[in-house]
Amino acid sequence: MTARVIETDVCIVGSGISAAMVAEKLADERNVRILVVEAGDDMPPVQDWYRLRRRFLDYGESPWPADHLDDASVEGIQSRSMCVGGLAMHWGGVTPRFSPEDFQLKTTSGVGDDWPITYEDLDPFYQEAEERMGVSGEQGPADIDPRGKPFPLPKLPLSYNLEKLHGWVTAAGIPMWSQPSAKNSIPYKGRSACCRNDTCTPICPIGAKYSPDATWRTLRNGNKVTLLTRTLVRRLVPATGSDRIEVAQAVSRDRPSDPIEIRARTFVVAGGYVWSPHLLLLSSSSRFPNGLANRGGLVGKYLTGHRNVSAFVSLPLKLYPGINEQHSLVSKQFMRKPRYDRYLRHDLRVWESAVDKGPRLRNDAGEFMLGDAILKDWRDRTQTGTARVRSYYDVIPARDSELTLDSARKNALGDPLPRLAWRDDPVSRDLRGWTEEQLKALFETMARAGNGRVIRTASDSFQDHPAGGCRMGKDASSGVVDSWGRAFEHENLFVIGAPTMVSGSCANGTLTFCALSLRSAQAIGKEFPQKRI
Amino acid sequence: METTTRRTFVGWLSGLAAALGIGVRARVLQAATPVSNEQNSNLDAAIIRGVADAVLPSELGNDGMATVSRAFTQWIGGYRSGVELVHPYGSTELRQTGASPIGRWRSQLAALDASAREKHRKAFPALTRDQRRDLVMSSLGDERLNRLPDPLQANHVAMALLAWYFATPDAVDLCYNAKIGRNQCRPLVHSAREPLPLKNGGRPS
Repeated sequence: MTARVIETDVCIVGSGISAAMVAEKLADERNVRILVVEAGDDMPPVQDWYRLRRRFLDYGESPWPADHLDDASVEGIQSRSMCVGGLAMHWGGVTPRFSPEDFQLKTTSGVGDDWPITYEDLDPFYQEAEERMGVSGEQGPADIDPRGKPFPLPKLPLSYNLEKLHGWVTAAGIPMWSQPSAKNSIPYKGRSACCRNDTCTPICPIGAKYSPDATWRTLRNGNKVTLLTRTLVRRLVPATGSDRIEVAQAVSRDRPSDPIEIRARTFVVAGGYVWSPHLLLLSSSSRFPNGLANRGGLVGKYLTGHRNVSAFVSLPLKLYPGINEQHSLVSKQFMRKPRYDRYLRHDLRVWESAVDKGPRLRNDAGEFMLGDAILKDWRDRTQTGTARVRSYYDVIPARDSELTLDSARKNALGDPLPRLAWRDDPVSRDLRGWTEEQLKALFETMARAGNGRVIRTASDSFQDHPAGGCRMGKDASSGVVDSWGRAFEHENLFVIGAPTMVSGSCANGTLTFCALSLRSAQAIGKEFPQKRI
Repeated sequence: METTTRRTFVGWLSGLAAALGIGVRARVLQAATPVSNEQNSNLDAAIIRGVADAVLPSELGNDGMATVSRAFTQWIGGYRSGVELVHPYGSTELRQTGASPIGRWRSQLAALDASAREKHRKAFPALTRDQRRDLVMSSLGDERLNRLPDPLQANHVAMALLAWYFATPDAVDLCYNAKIGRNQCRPLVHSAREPLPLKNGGRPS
């Protein structure tokens, strides 16, 4: 079968948030043809979102039907999403930056590895990501929340509940402020201001929360990119006698027997922490028996993320759960200033909550209640409020925290699926119990400062905001790609975003994925002529 | 197949609310999208209204009870089985909505009516509130749980109605006697102020 050939300048594999950042920057700044190849489907148009949200609220239905491939169920994966917009169609829109220490863990704390870039290197790209998405934020204390320029949008206001909770945490001696978020506090880039629909996850019905489909809509309407959906890239193939990548071999999910060859000057792998290393491993050949960019054996290694400990705290405060449930207070204090002799860095967030303050069927005496009795009991218990507190803490990844090919599980095309196994570096493994005890003790101290009590605590065992698998390094012995995302072994191959991270910090990594991607886009763009402004 | 778009529904709702002059009821109604694609899904209106009166807070009043009953019936009428549920966070598990409870609920309402006729020689809606409550309590049987269940998982329609109502934003507002308006589009700037009290303590005017 002769393959259908598509030629372009830049071929981006995947259409998630990192791909959207790269495509938009390239389209803005360079004369370049961009082809984006997405295995999944387009998501429903914005005009359907209110109806889809209603179905979610009423019945729990997914507002993003068909956002995954049925034959791509993977052992160890944490959330499945393969669609235009990727996992960021589900995200909550929270956009903290990492702290300067994250990039120099080895130097400052003697754990993990340093990144080949510093916070200062990334600061302008953080800013650019915030401006492209539209981040509403409040500058925290300068010594613990450094940034080069102000946030592009005013902060999301603290709700009545959060103002009350702010008084509590201040009494506990913890500086906290409005969580930066990619949610419009004012209309921005044709998207309206947040109106507290409070379903940011899984769907903002008015598009006030940034999601990558907004970027793709703009780029496609302006004929600035070609986005090929339902097309799965199966292998990247180097040119004969060269390490440059020449072709991406793909198939349409609608016509799997008709191969497609995509020829490009530059290939950008933007498949996130699962499908990026997976594609490199799948692309093995006699010349590259361990896959592409893998002479150092690091493709799929050092999967990273962070775990969390959370608590619900009952406080003698009159709160009204539901004013703006998904917004929170945040502090970076514990990401910056060590409090202990042993290694522990964590963030801290505080939300309003209705836990322990909802209607119930039995009163304290165990008596069954209906109507009026339920309402009276409910009112009696809502004279005080509940706060939810949560801290993500650093988990240093082991080298064998890894993605490998699973020969026992294959997709419909017969390609082995990835298998993920998360493993802590011995430092984190040994500190885990102690770390979680310290965080629970912090929550107890906070509760006492507000004359409250901890209702319950929980420790999650999964690692949130997963990343890694194609980490950046100074050379091929320490990383798959350099600090720009360029593969050490293939000069025209870039891996962008989450997989390139060396470590996962203790805060949501999405903004960092985006900033790294924009930094990669700067390097990718140098190959192509600049646009005249 | 949808029979009503959101736009026409909201327009209809606004007209209804204006005509009746009752914001609280309109908000309850808004919680139920009238997307009815399952045949014969309506519950017996008079009996479900009688159940509502027996299990819901009396502060709702007659009009409020009727409105909640109607909204509950519309809500279950819009249920579709076999639809993918939202992905659980941090899991690859895919789940779908289960079979509709509507048939079981209809039988339970019929059973309540039969019990009323057998015990009191009257139809269920014609009984006093106490009589209806006694019948509902005895029919709940093992359904006397510790927690309010997911309405769709409730074994008995009376428990489903109770759980459904207390999960609505209107129930929250009634509890707090405040216009919180959970999950509704509200100006961001108003989030900083204490929610205003409900008119008439939440009772229909």
